Amino acid sequence: MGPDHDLVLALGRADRAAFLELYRRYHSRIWRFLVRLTGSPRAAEDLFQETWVAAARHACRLREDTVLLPWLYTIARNKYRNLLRFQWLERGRGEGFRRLPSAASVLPDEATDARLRAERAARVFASLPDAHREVLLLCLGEGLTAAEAGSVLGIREAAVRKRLSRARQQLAQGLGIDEQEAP
Amino acid sequence: MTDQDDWLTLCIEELLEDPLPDRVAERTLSRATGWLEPAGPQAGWRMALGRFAVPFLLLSAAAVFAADTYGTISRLFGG
Repeated sequence: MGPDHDLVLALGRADRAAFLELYRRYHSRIWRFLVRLTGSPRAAEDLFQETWVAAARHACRLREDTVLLPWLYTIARNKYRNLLRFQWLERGRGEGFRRLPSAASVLPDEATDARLRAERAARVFASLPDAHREVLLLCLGEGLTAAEAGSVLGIREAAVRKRLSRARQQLAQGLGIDEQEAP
Repeated sequence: MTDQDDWLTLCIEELLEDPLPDRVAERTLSRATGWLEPAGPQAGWRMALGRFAVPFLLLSAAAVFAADTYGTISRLFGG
């Protein structure tokens, strides 16, 4: 039995307290995933709401062996995909991918370099195909295993590894990192 | 995990991470928990209404349509 087993059983009874516990445990991770995936906090707000409403509606149908976090990522990702299909999402994702490092902890020249690196990383990441961004976020950003990421993406574990490898190569190339070396 | 993975993970972590606005959190919980009202007589009544209202309305509309069509056909061919 997984760590979420008791919670899954309670959710199956549409238990309100169980749902609030589910939200408490995982809302920050789902929010972070959606913000990084969309590159737009505004778009992420709508998707975040839709994800948790869907979770509440379908919680009563959970199987006992469900692992809740990948289940939530699956819902979030599907909501994002639905949005793309309707082409409501603005394509200027690059503007959203930016978190400037704190200037207080680095020297002025280092701060400039760090800012430039962060901006470049944001642009390169935003230019990747959706499939690559998803797998990078799930595996490297959220720490999911290949099997868990596969359950979210609806592909086999081997396919996740292959896609992750290509995504890493593309990201590394965009950032000018030699694949054989580490900075 | 390789050193390159560590660096790429760092790049991912450098990406945008705005805090969740309180108004979004409140609205989300309000909408979501609306599907999870505690059990009781009122909840049962509401569930029954929700479950059967649409089929009942569709059947009613179909019955009205059928009756109207029958009446029209009768008038046209029955004299």
